[in-house]
Amino acid sequence: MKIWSISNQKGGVGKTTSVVSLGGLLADQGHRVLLVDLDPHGSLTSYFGQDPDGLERSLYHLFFEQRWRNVDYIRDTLKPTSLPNVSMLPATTSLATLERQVSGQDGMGLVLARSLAQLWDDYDYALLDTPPILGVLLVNALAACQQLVIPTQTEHLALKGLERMVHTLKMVMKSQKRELPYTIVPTLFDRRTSASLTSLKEMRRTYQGALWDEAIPVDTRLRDASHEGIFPHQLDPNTRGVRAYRHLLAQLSGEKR
Amino acid sequence: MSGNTDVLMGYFDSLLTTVDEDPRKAIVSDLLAGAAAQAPEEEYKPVATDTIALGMRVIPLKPPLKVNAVAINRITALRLLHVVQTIPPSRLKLHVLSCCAGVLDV
Repeated sequence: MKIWSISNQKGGVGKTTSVVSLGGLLADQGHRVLLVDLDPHGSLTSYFGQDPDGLERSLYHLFFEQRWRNVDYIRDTLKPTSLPNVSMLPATTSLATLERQVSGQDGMGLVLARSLAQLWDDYDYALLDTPPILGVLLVNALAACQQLVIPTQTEHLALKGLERMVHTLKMVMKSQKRELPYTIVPTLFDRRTSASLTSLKEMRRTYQGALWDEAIPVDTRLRDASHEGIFPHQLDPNTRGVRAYRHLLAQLSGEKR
Repeated sequence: MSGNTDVLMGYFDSLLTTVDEDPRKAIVSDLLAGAAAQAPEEEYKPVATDTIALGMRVIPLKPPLKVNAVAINRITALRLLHVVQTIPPSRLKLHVLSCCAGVLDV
Protein backbone atom coordinates (compact mmCIF):
# COMPACT_ATOMS: atom_id res chain seq x y z
CA MET A 1 0.00 0.00 0.00
CA LYS A 2 1.20 3.48 -0.84
CA ILE A 3 0.07 6.18 1.54
CA TRP A 4 -0.12 9.84 0.48
CA SER A 5 -1.21 12.61 2.79
CA ILE A 6 -2.83 15.70 1.29
CA SER A 7 -2.19 18.39 3.88
CA ASN A 8 -1.93 22.10 4.49
CA GLN A 9 -2.39 24.08 7.69
CA LYS A 10 -4.71 26.43 5.85
CA GLY A 11 -8.29 25.70 4.90
CA GLY A 12 -9.93 26.16 1.51
CA VAL A 13 -6.85 25.33 -0.53
CA GLY A 14 -8.30 22.29 -2.30
CA LYS A 15 -7.29 19.37 -0.05
CA THR A 16 -10.55 17.44 -0.34
CA THR A 17 -10.83 18.15 -4.07
CA SER A 18 -7.27 16.88 -4.54
CA VAL A 19 -7.97 13.70 -2.53
CA VAL A 20 -11.13 12.94 -4.50
CA SER A 21 -9.64 13.81 -7.90
CA LEU A 22 -6.42 11.81 -7.40
CA GLY A 23 -8.30 8.92 -5.78
CA GLY A 24 -10.74 8.73 -8.68
CA LEU A 25 -7.96 8.77 -11.27
CA LEU A 26 -6.04 6.04 -9.40
CA ALA A 27 -9.22 3.94 -9.36
CA ASP A 28 -9.65 4.62 -13.07
CA GLN A 29 -6.21 3.03 -13.56
CA GLY A 30 -7.53 -0.09 -11.83
CA HIS A 31 -6.06 0.48 -8.38
CA ARG A 32 -7.87 -0.29 -5.12
CA VAL A 33 -8.07 2.98 -3.23
CA LEU A 34 -8.90 3.96 0.33
CA LEU A 35 -9.79 7.58 1.10
CA VAL A 36 -9.39 8.60 4.75
CA ASP A 37 -11.19 11.62 6.20
CA LEU A 38 -9.27 13.03 9.17
CA ASP A 39 -11.08 16.36 9.22
CA PRO A 40 -13.76 16.86 11.90
CA HIS A 41 -15.64 19.01 9.38
CA GLY A 42 -16.15 15.81 7.41
CA SER A 43 -16.05 17.41 3.95
CA LEU A 44 -14.86 14.18 2.30
CA THR A 45 -17.44 12.18 4.25
CA SER A 46 -20.22 14.55 3.14
CA TYR A 47 -18.93 14.47 -0.45
CA PHE A 48 -19.98 10.83 -0.71
CA GLY A 49 -23.36 11.34 0.93
CA GLN A 50 -22.53 10.32 4.51
CA ASP A 51 -23.51 12.45 7.49
CA PRO A 52 -20.57 13.25 9.82
CA ASP A 53 -23.10 13.95 12.58
CA GLY A 54 -25.04 10.76 12.11
CA LEU A 55 -22.51 7.96 11.57
CA GLU A 56 -22.10 5.46 14.40
CA ARG A 57 -18.52 4.54 13.50
CA SER A 58 -15.65 6.57 12.13
CA LEU A 59 -11.91 7.08 12.37
CA TYR A 60 -12.58 8.55 15.83
CA HIS A 61 -13.59 5.18 17.25
CA LEU A 62 -10.30 3.53 16.23
CA PHE A 63 -8.46 5.63 18.82
CA PHE A 64 -10.19 3.90 21.73
CA GLU A 65 -10.13 0.41 23.24
CA GLN A 66 -7.31 -0.47 20.81
CA ARG A 67 -9.82 -0.94 17.98
CA TRP A 68 -6.99 -0.22 15.53
CA ARG A 69 -5.91 -3.81 16.22
CA ASN A 70 -9.27 -5.19 15.07
CA VAL A 71 -9.26 -5.55 11.28
CA ASP A 72 -12.92 -6.62 11.17
CA TYR A 73 -13.93 -3.50 13.10
CA ILE A 74 -11.93 -1.29 10.73
CA ARG A 75 -13.40 -2.95 7.63
CA ASP A 76 -16.92 -2.56 9.05
CA THR A 77 -16.27 1.16 9.55
CA LEU A 78 -15.51 1.76 5.86
CA LYS A 79 -18.13 3.29 3.57
CA PRO A 80 -18.62 2.94 -0.21
CA THR A 81 -18.16 5.69 -2.77
CA SER A 82 -19.42 6.13 -6.31
CA LEU A 83 -16.76 3.69 -7.56
CA PRO A 84 -16.61 0.03 -6.53
CA ASN A 85 -12.84 -0.04 -6.03
CA VAL A 86 -12.77 3.04 -3.80
CA SER A 87 -13.73 2.94 -0.11
CA MET A 88 -13.73 5.65 2.50
CA LEU A 89 -12.85 5.70 6.18
CA PRO A 90 -15.25 8.44 7.26
CA ALA A 91 -14.98 11.20 9.84
CA THR A 92 -17.49 12.21 12.46
CA THR A 93 -17.68 15.56 14.20
CA SER A 94 -16.56 13.81 17.41
CA LEU A 95 -13.04 13.94 15.94
CA ALA A 96 -13.00 17.57 17.10
CA THR A 97 -12.81 16.32 20.71
CA LEU A 98 -9.99 13.88 20.06
CA GLU A 99 -7.20 16.22 21.14
CA ARG A 100 -8.71 16.53 24.60
CA GLN A 101 -9.61 12.83 24.90
CA VAL A 102 -6.16 11.44 24.11
CA SER A 103 -4.21 14.19 25.81
CA GLY A 104 -1.26 12.82 27.75
CA GLN A 105 -1.35 9.35 26.17
CA ASP A 106 1.90 8.46 24.43
CA GLY A 107 1.86 6.98 20.94
CA MET A 108 -1.50 8.44 19.90
CA GLY A 109 0.15 9.79 16.75
CA LEU A 110 0.58 6.24 15.44
CA VAL A 111 -3.02 5.02 15.53
CA LEU A 112 -3.72 5.68 11.85
CA ALA A 113 -0.45 4.04 10.76
CA ARG A 114 -1.35 0.96 12.77
CA SER A 115 -4.89 0.89 11.40
CA LEU A 116 -3.61 1.10 7.83
CA ALA A 117 -1.16 -1.71 8.57
CA GLN A 118 -4.22 -3.90 9.19
CA LEU A 119 -5.54 -3.04 5.71
CA TRP A 120 -2.17 -3.35 4.02
CA ASP A 121 -3.20 -6.02 1.53
CA ASP A 122 -6.71 -4.68 0.93
CA TYR A 123 -5.69 -1.52 -0.94
CA ASP A 124 -3.02 -0.29 -3.35
CA TYR A 125 -3.29 3.36 -2.27
CA ALA A 126 -4.52 5.29 0.75
CA LEU A 127 -5.08 9.04 0.40
CA LEU A 128 -5.41 11.05 3.61
CA ASP A 129 -7.53 14.21 3.78
CA THR A 130 -6.26 16.13 6.80
CA PRO A 131 -7.65 19.00 8.88
CA PRO A 132 -6.11 22.47 8.47
CA ILE A 133 -5.04 22.48 12.12
CA LEU A 134 -1.87 21.28 13.76
CA GLY A 135 -2.97 18.57 16.16
CA VAL A 136 -3.10 14.85 16.81
CA LEU A 137 -4.95 14.13 13.53
CA LEU A 138 -2.44 15.93 11.32
CA VAL A 139 0.43 14.25 13.18
CA ASN A 140 -1.21 10.86 12.59
CA ALA A 141 -1.33 11.57 8.86
CA LEU A 142 2.29 12.72 8.70
CA ALA A 143 3.43 9.67 10.68
CA ALA A 144 1.55 7.24 8.45
CA CYS A 145 2.29 8.60 4.99
CA GLN A 146 5.19 7.93 2.66
CA GLN A 147 4.65 11.05 0.61
CA LEU A 148 3.15 14.44 1.38
CA VAL A 149 1.22 16.56 -1.09
CA ILE A 150 0.70 20.20 -0.05
CA PRO A 151 -2.03 21.91 -2.08
CA THR A 152 -1.52 25.66 -1.87
CA GLN A 153 -3.94 28.23 -3.16
CA THR A 154 -2.20 30.76 -5.38
CA GLU A 155 -2.84 33.78 -3.17
CA HIS A 156 -0.75 35.66 -0.63
CA LEU A 157 -2.27 34.39 2.65
CA ALA A 158 -1.91 30.78 1.53
CA LEU A 159 1.87 31.23 1.36
CA LYS A 160 1.89 31.71 5.15
CA GLY A 161 0.01 28.43 5.59
CA LEU A 162 2.53 26.74 3.31
CA GLU A 163 5.40 28.12 5.37
CA ARG A 164 3.84 26.74 8.59
CA MET A 165 3.16 23.37 6.96
CA VAL A 166 6.76 22.95 5.83
CA HIS A 167 7.98 23.97 9.30
CA THR A 168 5.68 21.38 10.93
CA LEU A 169 6.84 18.75 8.47
CA LYS A 170 10.49 19.38 9.33
CA MET A 171 9.80 18.97 13.04
CA VAL A 172 7.85 15.74 12.54
CA MET A 173 10.68 14.38 10.35
CA LYS A 174 13.12 15.24 13.13
CA SER A 175 10.96 13.52 15.72
CA GLN A 176 10.55 10.43 13.53
CA LYS A 177 14.17 10.46 12.36
CA ARG A 178 13.20 9.96 8.74
CA GLU A 179 12.87 11.97 5.54
CA LEU A 180 9.42 12.50 4.04
CA PRO A 181 9.31 13.62 0.40
CA TYR A 182 6.82 16.39 -0.32
CA THR A 183 5.37 18.11 -3.35
CA ILE A 184 3.81 21.56 -3.27
CA VAL A 185 0.86 21.82 -5.64
CA PRO A 186 -0.39 25.29 -6.66
CA THR A 187 -4.19 25.20 -6.72
CA LEU A 188 -7.13 27.43 -7.67
CA PHE A 189 -4.87 29.11 -10.18
CA ASP A 190 -6.50 31.84 -12.23
CA ARG A 191 -4.13 33.28 -14.82
CA ARG A 192 -6.38 36.38 -15.19
CA THR A 193 -5.62 37.62 -11.67
CA SER A 194 -2.38 39.25 -10.59
CA ALA A 195 -2.73 37.61 -7.13
CA SER A 196 -2.42 34.16 -8.71
CA LEU A 197 0.50 35.12 -10.93
CA THR A 198 2.40 36.91 -8.16
CA SER A 199 1.98 34.16 -5.57
CA LEU A 200 2.95 31.45 -8.07
CA LYS A 201 6.10 33.40 -8.85
CA GLU A 202 6.82 33.71 -5.12
CA MET A 203 6.32 29.95 -4.61
CA ARG A 204 8.73 29.20 -7.46
CA ARG A 205 11.33 31.51 -5.93
CA THR A 206 11.05 30.08 -2.39
CA TYR A 207 10.31 26.39 -2.90
CA GLN A 208 12.21 25.54 -6.05
CA GLY A 209 12.67 21.79 -6.27
CA ALA A 210 9.65 20.88 -4.11
CA LEU A 211 7.15 22.74 -6.28
CA TRP A 212 5.18 20.94 -8.99
CA ASP A 213 5.90 22.74 -12.25
CA GLU A 214 2.25 23.04 -13.25
CA ALA A 215 -0.86 24.30 -11.40
CA ILE A 216 -4.42 23.15 -10.80
CA PRO A 217 -6.69 25.75 -12.44
CA VAL A 218 -9.95 27.09 -11.11
CA ASP A 219 -12.57 24.78 -12.61
CA THR A 220 -16.26 24.91 -11.75
CA ARG A 221 -16.68 21.34 -13.01
CA LEU A 222 -14.79 20.13 -9.93
CA ARG A 223 -17.43 21.82 -7.76
CA ASP A 224 -20.20 20.36 -9.92
CA ALA A 225 -18.81 16.87 -9.28
CA SER A 226 -18.96 17.43 -5.51
CA HIS A 227 -22.63 18.43 -5.83
CA GLU A 228 -23.29 15.17 -7.65
CA GLY A 229 -21.26 13.14 -5.12
CA ILE A 230 -19.18 11.56 -7.88
CA PHE A 231 -15.52 11.69 -8.82
CA PRO A 232 -14.67 14.59 -11.17
CA HIS A 233 -13.46 12.30 -13.97
CA GLN A 234 -16.83 10.53 -13.86
CA LEU A 235 -18.54 13.84 -14.59
CA ASP A 236 -16.14 14.94 -17.30
CA PRO A 237 -12.83 13.15 -17.97
CA ASN A 238 -11.54 16.00 -20.12
CA THR A 239 -12.27 19.07 -18.05
CA ARG A 240 -9.12 21.13 -17.48
CA GLY A 241 -9.14 20.42 -13.73
CA VAL A 242 -9.17 16.67 -14.31
CA ARG A 243 -6.47 16.97 -16.96
CA ALA A 244 -4.27 18.88 -14.52
CA TYR A 245 -4.81 16.28 -11.79
CA ARG A 246 -3.91 13.57 -14.30
CA HIS A 247 -0.57 15.32 -14.91
CA LEU A 248 -0.06 15.64 -11.15
CA LEU A 249 -0.76 11.95 -10.64
CA ALA A 250 1.84 11.05 -13.25
CA GLN A 251 4.35 13.19 -11.36
CA LEU A 252 3.49 11.74 -7.92
CA SER A 253 3.49 8.15 -9.04
CA GLY A 254 6.88 8.56 -10.68
CA GLU A 255 5.76 8.20 -14.27
CA LYS A 256 7.04 11.69 -14.99
CA ARG A 257 10.22 12.99 -13.36
CA MET B 1 15.58 26.25 18.75
CA SER B 2 12.96 28.80 19.75
CA GLY B 3 10.72 28.22 22.78
CA ASN B 4 7.81 27.62 20.44
CA THR B 5 9.72 24.94 18.56
CA ASP B 6 10.73 23.29 21.85
CA VAL B 7 7.09 23.00 22.87
CA LEU B 8 6.09 21.56 19.49
CA MET B 9 8.96 19.06 19.45
CA GLY B 10 7.89 17.79 22.87
CA TYR B 11 4.35 17.45 21.55
CA PHE B 12 5.46 15.48 18.48
CA ASP B 13 7.79 13.24 20.48
CA SER B 14 4.97 12.43 22.89
CA LEU B 15 2.53 11.55 20.10
CA LEU B 16 5.04 9.57 18.08
CA THR B 17 6.69 7.58 20.86
CA THR B 18 5.16 4.45 22.27
CA VAL B 19 5.77 3.31 25.82
CA ASP B 20 6.54 -0.19 24.59
CA GLU B 21 9.46 0.88 22.45
CA ASP B 22 12.02 -1.19 24.34
CA PRO B 23 9.91 -4.38 24.31
CA ARG B 24 9.55 -3.98 20.56
CA LYS B 25 13.30 -3.96 20.24
CA ALA B 26 13.43 -7.09 22.36
CA ILE B 27 10.87 -8.79 20.13
CA VAL B 28 12.97 -8.16 17.02
CA SER B 29 16.09 -9.32 18.82
CA ASP B 30 14.38 -12.48 19.95
CA LEU B 31 13.13 -13.23 16.48
CA LEU B 32 16.57 -12.89 14.98
CA ALA B 33 18.36 -14.72 17.73
CA GLY B 34 15.91 -17.58 17.62
CA ALA B 35 15.56 -17.45 21.36
CA ALA B 36 11.79 -17.27 21.45
CA ALA B 37 8.87 -19.09 19.92
CA GLN B 38 7.19 -17.50 16.91
CA ALA B 39 5.97 -14.02 17.87
CA PRO B 40 2.20 -13.74 18.21
CA GLU B 41 0.53 -11.63 15.55
CA GLU B 42 -0.25 -8.77 17.91
CA GLU B 43 3.38 -8.55 19.01
CA TYR B 44 4.86 -8.19 15.58
CA LYS B 45 2.26 -5.72 14.31
CA PRO B 46 3.84 -2.69 16.06
CA VAL B 47 7.15 -3.56 14.44
CA ALA B 48 5.44 -3.79 11.07
CA THR B 49 3.94 -0.35 11.70
CA ASP B 50 7.38 1.20 11.82
CA THR B 51 8.07 -0.01 8.34
CA ILE B 52 5.02 1.50 6.66
CA ALA B 53 6.74 4.80 6.08
CA LEU B 54 9.55 2.97 4.31
CA GLY B 55 7.14 1.07 2.09
CA MET B 56 8.34 -2.24 3.55
CA ARG B 57 6.92 -4.93 5.76
CA VAL B 58 8.49 -7.07 8.45
CA ILE B 59 7.54 -10.73 8.33
CA PRO B 60 8.20 -12.61 11.58
CA LEU B 61 10.58 -15.51 11.13
CA LYS B 62 10.01 -18.83 12.77
CA PRO B 63 13.23 -19.31 14.71
CA PRO B 64 15.20 -22.44 13.96
CA LEU B 65 15.10 -24.77 16.95
CA LYS B 66 17.12 -27.57 15.39
CA VAL B 67 20.73 -28.59 15.18
CA ASN B 68 23.09 -25.90 13.87
CA ALA B 69 20.71 -23.20 15.09
CA VAL B 70 23.63 -20.91 15.89
CA ALA B 71 25.06 -21.26 12.40
CA ILE B 72 21.65 -20.68 10.81
CA ASN B 73 21.15 -17.59 12.97
CA ARG B 74 24.47 -16.19 11.85
CA ILE B 75 23.70 -16.83 8.19
CA THR B 76 20.31 -15.14 8.66
CA ALA B 77 21.99 -12.17 10.32
CA LEU B 78 24.45 -11.84 7.44
CA ARG B 79 21.60 -11.96 4.93
CA LEU B 80 19.75 -9.30 6.90
CA LEU B 81 22.81 -7.08 6.92
CA HIS B 82 22.89 -7.38 3.14
CA VAL B 83 19.22 -6.31 2.93
CA VAL B 84 19.38 -3.59 5.56
CA GLN B 85 21.95 -1.60 3.63
CA THR B 86 19.18 -0.73 1.16
CA ILE B 87 16.95 0.77 3.88
CA PRO B 88 17.26 4.51 4.54
CA PRO B 89 18.32 5.61 8.04
CA SER B 90 15.45 4.90 10.43
CA ARG B 91 14.60 3.39 13.78
CA LEU B 92 13.93 0.07 12.07
CA LYS B 93 17.38 0.05 10.49
CA LEU B 94 18.93 0.74 13.87
CA HIS B 95 16.98 -2.14 15.44
CA VAL B 96 18.01 -4.60 12.78
CA LEU B 97 21.66 -3.55 12.88
CA SER B 98 21.83 -3.90 16.65
CA CYS B 99 20.12 -7.30 16.49
CA CYS B 100 22.54 -8.53 13.85
CA ALA B 101 25.44 -7.26 15.93
CA GLY B 102 24.12 -9.27 18.87
CA VAL B 103 23.79 -12.46 16.84
CA LEU B 104 27.22 -12.11 15.25
CA ASP B 105 28.70 -11.14 18.61
CA VAL B 106 30.60 -8.13 17.29
